[in-house]
Amino acid sequence: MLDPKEEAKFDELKGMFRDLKLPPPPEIFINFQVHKDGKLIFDDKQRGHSWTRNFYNYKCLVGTNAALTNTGFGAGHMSSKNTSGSYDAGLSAIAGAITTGGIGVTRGIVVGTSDTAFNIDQYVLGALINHGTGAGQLTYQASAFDSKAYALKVWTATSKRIMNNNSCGDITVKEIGLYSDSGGFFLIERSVLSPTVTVPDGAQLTVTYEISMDFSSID
Amino acid sequence: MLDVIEEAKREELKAKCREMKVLPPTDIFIGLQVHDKGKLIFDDVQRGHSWTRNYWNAIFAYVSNCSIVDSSFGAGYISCKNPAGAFTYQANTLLIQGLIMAGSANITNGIVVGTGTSAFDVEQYALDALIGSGNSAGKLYYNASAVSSTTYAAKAWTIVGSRIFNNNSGGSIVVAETGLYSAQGWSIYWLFERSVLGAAVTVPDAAQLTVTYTIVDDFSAID
Repeated sequence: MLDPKEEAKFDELKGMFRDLKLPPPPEIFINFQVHKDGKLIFDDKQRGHSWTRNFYNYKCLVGTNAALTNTGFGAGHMSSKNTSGSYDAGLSAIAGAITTGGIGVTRGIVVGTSDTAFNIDQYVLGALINHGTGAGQLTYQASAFDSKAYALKVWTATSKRIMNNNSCGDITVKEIGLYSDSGGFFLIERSVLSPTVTVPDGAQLTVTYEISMDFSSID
Repeated sequence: MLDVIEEAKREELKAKCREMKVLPPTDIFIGLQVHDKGKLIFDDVQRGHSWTRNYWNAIFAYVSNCSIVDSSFGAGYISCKNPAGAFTYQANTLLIQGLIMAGSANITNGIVVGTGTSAFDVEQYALDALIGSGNSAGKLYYNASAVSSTTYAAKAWTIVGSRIFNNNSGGSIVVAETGLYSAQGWSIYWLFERSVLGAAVTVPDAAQLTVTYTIVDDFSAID
């Protein structure tokens, strides 16, 4: 559910960017829908705004050809960590926030069961829900870039992923993330969900990421 | 020369970004120095902040992974034009690189300069009047350029790159605009930033112009 106070603050912030004719920060909205027996039983939209250090570092390097140092991770280190926890120079060619996710959990939109608070230095979900039909697992469908649209001077790109629960038990999704595929795999955004999303056995979870950017200062 | 009022507005914006823990805007400062007969005869720093539509579109395409494939240009299109005015694109896996790096005599990427004074327009895709590389009338010889330093201090990353332009043309040349041509995969070139200089720079014959781009990303929202 969107927080009206936070949304008002974002509107104010975007106004300040407009005033200076600067590109505002990209925004993320995450939609969750759960269907069971053909009926919509859960429908919610949350703001995603937890870009990780991997994303910050890449954004800083965009265009400059400055080198990643890969000698440490955290404040003062221009490095990247892949989802295995290793330093990886692949970040210099990161593909994008919404990557095509094949069947499985190595890239694209992924979900987990951890509600550990977001930390900028996280490089992997707290407790990734694995792909499969065993206990505690969801079957991840392949996903791809879905569409882009322009309205009210705002560009919105949408990508969707469907996960089916064939595990014979309910699964509660508490976190979501974007694993970018750029040779290595990098967590570039993680959101801890509020409210969490329960996916009953036999139900289907559809996650839709919307990444938008306000062009009103130039259009 | 920096505008005190604009600098104050930028500080206010960065503070708001810190408060909301979102990415602040990238700052660009353009240093301009002219040396003549071993003496520094001109020294100025100006703020660069004129990102073109190419840049806006490329950044959105990067974060969203949508392709730059539209064949019209302007509001409502995600497309990029090269300096010749042709649509060029790189479908998926957008790789933005080479804002600063350029080879010797290369005028298609890296830091470039021109004599045009037309006001900045976001739809511009080339310098108004690019100065060619060479030693004949009206030309400057473009040296190779690369990132010279990447440093972290006071919770900000600063990336610096310079390019030297020698005037062997036999006459003075007045530089009135600078720009950054980006190289996408080293084969596609887009103007990402153009600044009309507040104070034009005269480069006498046999003098040397050094243009230094300082790109600053404030990490204080997360560090």
